[in-house]
Amino acid sequence: MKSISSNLKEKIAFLRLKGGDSEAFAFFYDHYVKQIYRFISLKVANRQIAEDLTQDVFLKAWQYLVDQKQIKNFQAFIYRIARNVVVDYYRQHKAQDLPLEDFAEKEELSDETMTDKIDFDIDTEKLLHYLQKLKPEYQEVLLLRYVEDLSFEEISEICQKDKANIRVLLHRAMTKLKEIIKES
Amino acid sequence: MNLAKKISQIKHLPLCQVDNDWERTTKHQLLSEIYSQHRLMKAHSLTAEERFRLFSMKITRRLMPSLAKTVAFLLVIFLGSGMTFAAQASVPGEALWPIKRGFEKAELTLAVSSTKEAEVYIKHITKRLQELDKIVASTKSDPDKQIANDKVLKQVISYLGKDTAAVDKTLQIVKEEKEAPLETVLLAQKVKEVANQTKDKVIVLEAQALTNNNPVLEQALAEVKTASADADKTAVKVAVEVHQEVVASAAQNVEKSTNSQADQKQAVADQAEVKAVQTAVAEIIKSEISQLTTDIQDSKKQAEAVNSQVNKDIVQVTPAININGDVISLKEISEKPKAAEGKLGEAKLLLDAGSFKDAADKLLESKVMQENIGSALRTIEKTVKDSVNSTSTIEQVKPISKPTTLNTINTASTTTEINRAMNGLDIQAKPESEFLQ
Repeated sequence: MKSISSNLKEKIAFLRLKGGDSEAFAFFYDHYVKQIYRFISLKVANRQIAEDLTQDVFLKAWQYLVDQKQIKNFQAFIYRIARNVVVDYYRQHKAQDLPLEDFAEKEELSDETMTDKIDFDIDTEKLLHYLQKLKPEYQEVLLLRYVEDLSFEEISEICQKDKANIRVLLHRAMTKLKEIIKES
Repeated sequence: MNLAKKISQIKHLPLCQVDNDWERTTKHQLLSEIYSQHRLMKAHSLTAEERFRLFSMKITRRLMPSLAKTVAFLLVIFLGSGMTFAAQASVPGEALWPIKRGFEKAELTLAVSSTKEAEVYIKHITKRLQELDKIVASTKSDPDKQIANDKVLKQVISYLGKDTAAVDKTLQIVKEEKEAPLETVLLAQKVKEVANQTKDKVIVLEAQALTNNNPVLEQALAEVKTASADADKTAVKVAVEVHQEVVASAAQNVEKSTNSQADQKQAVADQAEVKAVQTAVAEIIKSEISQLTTDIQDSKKQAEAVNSQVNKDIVQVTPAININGDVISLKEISEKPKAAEGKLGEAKLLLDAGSFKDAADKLLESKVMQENIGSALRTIEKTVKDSVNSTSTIEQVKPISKPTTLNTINTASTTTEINRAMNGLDIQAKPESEFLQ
């Protein structure tokens, strides 16, 4: 979560960025490059590809600004570009493994705190491997929530869904992940 | 640990850690791209009056007092003749070095255009090369100073790398700004010349660093070599692209022209410009061909030398090389430069036919092959040298008559090193024992 002063700095930089200030762009690059790289690398599982796609993301972001399109929230904006870049990459390379869709989804919405009580003794790399078997939207919501530590509000802006849907999605994602782990 | 916390641990995996060098390089590339796009965008969207106003503002801005400009101006004027002249010969560590660097920064600040900026960088690169000569000469005359001089050398090499990368980027900006085509091509020629001088110097220093077993210096030199190779490629690419644009523009003007006097004058001027640019670009490509011919000849000699050394000194390590099922000897590596020569021959034909773009593409292919060969040969040379210097057991081992005698030598690491070198040439090296019956 961001502090008040970092929020303020970002807002000022954002105003300058909308005016085409390249130094403001550098500010956003420094601020988001690690997150965007991490987000992409967890999806494509390849450093070289992740680096190339991350570079594309920032170039596209700049191009969007140059075309003077309106942006309200830079974080949501750049994550959306990252998602689209990854989707385009998958379309071109057809590299994505098909997610495990045959697990039945559980409809009941039990309290999220239930997951806190279950202990999973599992290697982190294996966990990543299981995570990559999930549907893209499940992967995204788990990565954004637990790896990038974003709030539901921030995730809802990135995924362009309302907060309630994000909570449901997160619950379903966790449930499926647990099923995959247990099956493995 | 609960699952949510476990998921959060994923951020600590090595895959998720950004490489700092990549981060810095990408930032620099993005900002250069953005900067050149931004300037181009601004230029395109202006009316003629606005452009004139912007131009005059640019000149005024460069001359208007600001702290940096004032300091720069004072440095140039007051320190102009005496101290800066004395400082020209200084190197890092000497008293006048900061004045020299200050003067150089002032020169950059006062450059009125990107072309001038590139020329200043070229001048600085030439100075860095002179400084390297001075430091090397100093070490030769007083070997006790080697350690101190190595530090100074590394500093100068670092500046050289930065200046070379900067001239590369500035040339790209000059190209994007669509300055006078002939001026751009002539600038590309200068960049190419200085990049070649840098490359030659680096090769000499690399050999010394290898002899003195100085991996830190080797690494620094490798970076400069990459930067100068990139600058060289940019120079050729810019020259060829400008030529294509000039030819296309002249052709367009011919299509649109009427028989008016103005149009006829324009056509004549266009033709003259095309011819001048063509001559300059042809010179650049010829120089590239000449340089590459020399490099390929050197590679051939190097391959023969490595081959004879391997045969003489370490018979047991000589690998039988498996290329697509055919077993050939290390000796035949000298055939590899011929493929690069073939591409070079094609480039010459295309140049003679006036197809500069295609000639440049063939040159690039030949260059990449040549670089791979050179890099593989260097690695093999180093591996052979390390094997000769390593243990005395090598001297005791007799030439192979049976495969089992290989067990007395540690061929694994040598073969692995050679494998890595060969991978650059798409071939696999295996110990001879695997192929002996």
